Amino acid sequence: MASKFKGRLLPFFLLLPTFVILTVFLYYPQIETFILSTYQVAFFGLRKTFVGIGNYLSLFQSPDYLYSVMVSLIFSGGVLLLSMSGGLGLALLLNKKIKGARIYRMALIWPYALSPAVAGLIWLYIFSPNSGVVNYALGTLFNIQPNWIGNPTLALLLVIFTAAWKQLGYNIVFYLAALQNVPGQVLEAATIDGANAFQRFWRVTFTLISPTTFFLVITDLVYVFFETFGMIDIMTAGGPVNATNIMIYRLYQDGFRYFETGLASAESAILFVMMVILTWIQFRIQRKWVYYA
Amino acid sequence: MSKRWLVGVVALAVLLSWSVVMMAGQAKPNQIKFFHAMGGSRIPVIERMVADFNATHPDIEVTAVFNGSYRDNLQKTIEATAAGDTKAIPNIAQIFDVGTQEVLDSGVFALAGNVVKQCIASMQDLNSKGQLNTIDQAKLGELEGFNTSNFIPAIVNYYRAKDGTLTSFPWNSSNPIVFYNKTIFDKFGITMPEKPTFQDIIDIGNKLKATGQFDKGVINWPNHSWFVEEWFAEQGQDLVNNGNGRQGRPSHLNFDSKAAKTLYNWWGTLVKDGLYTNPGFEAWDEADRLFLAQQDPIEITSTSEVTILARDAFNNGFEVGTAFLPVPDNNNRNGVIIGGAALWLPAKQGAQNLCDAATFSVWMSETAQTIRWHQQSGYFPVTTQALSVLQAQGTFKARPNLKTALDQLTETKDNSATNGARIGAFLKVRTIVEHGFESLEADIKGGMPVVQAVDTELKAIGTKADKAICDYQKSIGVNNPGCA
Repeated sequence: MASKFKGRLLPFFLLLPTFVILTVFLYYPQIETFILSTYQVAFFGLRKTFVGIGNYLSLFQSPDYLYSVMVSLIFSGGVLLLSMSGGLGLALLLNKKIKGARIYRMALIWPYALSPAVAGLIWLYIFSPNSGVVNYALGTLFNIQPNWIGNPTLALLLVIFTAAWKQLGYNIVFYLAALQNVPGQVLEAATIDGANAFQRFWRVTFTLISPTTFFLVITDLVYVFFETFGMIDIMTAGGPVNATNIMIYRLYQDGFRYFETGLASAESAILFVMMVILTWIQFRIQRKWVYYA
Repeated sequence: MSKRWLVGVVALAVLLSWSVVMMAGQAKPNQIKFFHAMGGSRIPVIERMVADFNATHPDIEVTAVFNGSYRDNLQKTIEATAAGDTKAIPNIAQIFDVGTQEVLDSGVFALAGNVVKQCIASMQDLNSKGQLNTIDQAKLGELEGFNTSNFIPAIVNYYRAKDGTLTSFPWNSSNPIVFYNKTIFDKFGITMPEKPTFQDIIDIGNKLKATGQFDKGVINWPNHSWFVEEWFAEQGQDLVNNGNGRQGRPSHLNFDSKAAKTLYNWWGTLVKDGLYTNPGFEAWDEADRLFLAQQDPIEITSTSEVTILARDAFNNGFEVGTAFLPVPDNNNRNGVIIGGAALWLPAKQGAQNLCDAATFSVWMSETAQTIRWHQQSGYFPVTTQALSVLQAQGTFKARPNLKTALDQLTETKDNSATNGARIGAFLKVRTIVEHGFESLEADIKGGMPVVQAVDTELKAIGTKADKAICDYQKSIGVNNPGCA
């Protein structure tokens, strides 16, 4: 391979722009964050005191923060499950030859074009406990008006649904593309071998699209951990009583609302490590279930 | 020959460019950046005022920059200031009241009172030497006309340092009053007293509820700590110890006080009886929406909404009435805290910029501008003279809702409770108080008796808030013996 380039330096030279950008925008800030996480920083960043692992200790000793970690795990688990199973289910239906498939496809992919904040706003209006259309309908029909935003359990469910709905379109696009690449002959052969519909799906289709599933698990994970911030901010602001205060939102609160930059940096570092571990586990176990044709 | 020609051209060019530079130097006004957080219909109001200032002050050019919410504006100011780029830092920043202690601790801002004094001194010095031009003489006159006693005492006292120096220029101020749907009240023959008590609100609420039209509650205000702070002030109770944090650093939130219990027991009863609608966490807009959609006939919110609510209510086909903030006992009305924001001057911007920024801030608090700001934005006129002009014009007779707001302010007693609390971690304390109410509401709706729920949650809020207050002081290296 190396022989294709004249000289040893040329490949590095060509890679240089990428490395410069990565260094300036990724590596350097990341290292700075790690360094900052060992300081207690006062308002305005004017006074910095070295505290070593003090910030990490106080985070792990804070019940509020551990609660945030738990909420994050429930939230990401819920969103992943809903948006991926929903995405796959809808993609299977879309893959059928039906009238108006293009229109359905567009309608289903649409939510992905919205920003998380806008999606949050739409669902907030629909589910607003006092003036939303859902409670109006429920109140008129059954005389019940659940407090979707004020009740901790319902609020968490609501943000999970919203985040899953928002990501549905993305998963549908990828699953649809994967399904269309499943060769018809293989399915035909399975039918001839006497496999029923479920077996055909589970043994053949699902196995053949497993690389897509793997890819989506990782991208969706990044989405729920980092991009759902705007949605949470608009819908519940982390409330009620921290019920929807996922880690990225708490980081924002500590860093930008209370100006505790050192603490927020430590939270950022923890999130980073968590993502690294999760992705590493994914790559480890994918050998067992992902099948590259 | 050609060489001489060249020399001539170069000489001419140098001469020309030099004169251009000179002219530019004369004509180019000093640039002043003003960061503010007044959105919506208030943006054009500010821009028109800035344009008028620029027209009357040819050597200064102020540019108003809208940065979003109070929190956003503070964040932008901090970023620009921390970066240390003198071109990027604002010359004037509007900062909300709860940021006061942090901003003072940062040492990044010059105290307004001192800036004005220094500018006057240096300009008088130049003037005595005959070196002050007419434009600067006019500025000097303006600065000399500035006096903190021009401001309404209840307002200006919020912004004084311990030794009485003015920290920042009072600008937009408001406090909470009751707004009610007069059309609905008239229809059911219910009247709102001019100065309601907690019991009045419960009685009126029950009457309204008995009509069967308001099953979701009859009264709302945003779940915002600001209201709690105001109710502490009305009962003459300091929010924190050490003279409300004005004598020394506080270490304790007074949530174990009788005032706190009285307030939360009332609020809890409203929740239990289904009279209170919670619009949500700091949900100002949702609260207005519920009131305007006539779902809740009563709303408690900021006086700065007077004009906007009255107009929108008219469009929705009903009339708005106003009343004082309800209190437990009318004989002991202590008054309200002035809430809002002030204009701060970052210190590291050079003497010239500081004086020009001060000139703009002083101009904004002159009577004419104050009246204009009041009429177009809904905030209080902050000077006593503006108040008497408005009274003479009969503004308050024609608009009784404005009068409610002003009477409540002018009847306010001057003491530490109404001067407002100074807390370093105020932003965090506010969130703790607001989350505390969410827990309280959940407890009561889950069937816990009000008194028991109030006891539990007030204790929890107090413990968390005390920790936040002390942690902040530790972070800036203050050793407070009250923080065990």
